[in-house]
Amino acid sequence: MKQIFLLSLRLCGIKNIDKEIELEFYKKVVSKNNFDPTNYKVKAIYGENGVGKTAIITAVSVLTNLLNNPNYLSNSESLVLLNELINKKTNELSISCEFVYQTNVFGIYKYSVVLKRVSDRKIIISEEKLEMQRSSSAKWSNIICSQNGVLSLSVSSKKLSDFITESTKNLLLTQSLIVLLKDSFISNAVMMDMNKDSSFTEAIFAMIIFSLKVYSFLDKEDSHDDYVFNVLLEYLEENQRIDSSDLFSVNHLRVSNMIIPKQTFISYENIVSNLKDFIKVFKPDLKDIYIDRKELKDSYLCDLVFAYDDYQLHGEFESTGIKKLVRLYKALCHVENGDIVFIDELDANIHDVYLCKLLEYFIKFGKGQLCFTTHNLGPMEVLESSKKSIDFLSRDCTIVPWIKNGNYSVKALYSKGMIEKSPFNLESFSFLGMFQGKE
Amino acid sequence: MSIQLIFCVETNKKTNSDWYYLSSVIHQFYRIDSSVKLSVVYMDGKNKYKQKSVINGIKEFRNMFTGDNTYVIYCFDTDDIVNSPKALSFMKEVEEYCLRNVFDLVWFNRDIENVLLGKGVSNSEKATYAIDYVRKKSYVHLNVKMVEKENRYIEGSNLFKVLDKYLTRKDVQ
Repeated sequence: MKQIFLLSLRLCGIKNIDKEIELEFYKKVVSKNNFDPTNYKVKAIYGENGVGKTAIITAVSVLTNLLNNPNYLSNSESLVLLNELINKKTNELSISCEFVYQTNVFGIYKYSVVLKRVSDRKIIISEEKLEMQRSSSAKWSNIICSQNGVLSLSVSSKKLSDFITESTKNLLLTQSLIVLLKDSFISNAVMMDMNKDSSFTEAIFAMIIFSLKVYSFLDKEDSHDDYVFNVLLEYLEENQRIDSSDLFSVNHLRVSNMIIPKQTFISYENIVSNLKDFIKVFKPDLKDIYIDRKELKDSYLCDLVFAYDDYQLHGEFESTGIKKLVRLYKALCHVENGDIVFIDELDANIHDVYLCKLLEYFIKFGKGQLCFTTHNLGPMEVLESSKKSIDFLSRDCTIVPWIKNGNYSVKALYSKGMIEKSPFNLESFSFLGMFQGKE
Repeated sequence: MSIQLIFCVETNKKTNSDWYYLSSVIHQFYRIDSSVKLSVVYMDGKNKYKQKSVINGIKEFRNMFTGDNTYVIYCFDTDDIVNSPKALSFMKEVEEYCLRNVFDLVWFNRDIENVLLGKGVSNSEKATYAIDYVRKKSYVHLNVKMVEKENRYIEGSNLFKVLDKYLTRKDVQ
């Protein structure tokens, strides 16, 4: 059985998070014989406003960009954004994750990367490392590592070593090893006689699979999707052509202004058809969702139109909640398909009862992992039955995992400020005098 | 390390005047970060200090707290301790009770309003004065020396003497 599962995520140096935090998704002891993540599929991160919940999801977004986009650290727009995202005190962002990849063999892998701000316009990869172990009690073996652009790897085949050294030459400061190896490694795997280095090959493939399985979904304000859309549209107008993979890989569905390449339009239609069934759960009077498309050169500019019994509504005029559900839909599809999905503010604009049912569904039937931030206490009751399912992020950047305390429900303890580091020392009278106008 | 301080106050939850004063003064003069949980138990009359409802309230907060340590601080007005044998005897009784249960005792001579407002307030006006104290941020002007006393027979309070054991003061000029 093929399976990928994120065991832990550590990060430091993103937005306000200036000391290392760790999210654990599974118990500490992991081995082939006892590995069963069934009860560990969903995690919620709670925290007061401004403590850094979005920063965690943003860090995952940086990681996926780094692992999948070859131009991430050379693109001026992403550099501007990264410069703002990397903590001003630490001047570097470190992300490390451990995951299990199980096929006919079982391996635990640790990938870590450090991005360092050299100047406002220059961010480099100062460290990148991939290690593996067969069980959590075994020693980590170094697979591949780069430090300040210097590569070290543990392979016995000279041919393979030369191949990797050559394909990464002078690029390690600005591109992830994984991005550099991805295409060439897969296409040259047979030629490179990789069986001689089975652990090495296995680890690189596991890491490539991991890079393709992790997704992050930021809320509208933080996702910069509109910005990306405008850049793409501008490019399209200038060049009358655009690489279709750039377009359809935009993960959020939107109610308007989706640019869909002509060759992928049929898949888009299928997605919208499934989306209709999903939205109907929330709005039973919805009859259909039509695609209103305008032809561009190689693509269509698509808007969604929601059809009810006796009227139709352009997607932009749908309720905020429905628009949110449209945006979320693809993220939830990824969870269903066994991917590792991080969502910021999953609860925003979704009714509490529906949200709880949705979470119950993913706990019972989801094949992938879902980690989300939220302010809504409702899901706590659903999550209590799962393991490692609730973490609290405190104002001093500490993660406090939920541990069952007697008969008290987590919701009761949290709302009363009884969870360590989340005291909510706030009274209604704390607001006295704050809203009075000056006479 | 995270701690919980449980304050047992004379007032009831509805009037809540003691907690208006204490909470605002604590937040003004002490660093209350995420490692400190402040909880309050309402005695609804000073004579009810060892009633089941109060003891259960303390017990409940202790059990619920998932941090490291919980400390209990009883807060009483001394009333006319100098001239009234009844008031003196009551203070001795609660002192002994706190000692026996390893609770801290904060006293206000003669009462919390006298110490913080500089004047006595009738029962019917207690809530109004407490709200005004917070709304007008009168705690900013607190004479700190008045709440650092050690002698319960003179006007003032040992509030800061007790709080200093658990909390760090802010640099307030």
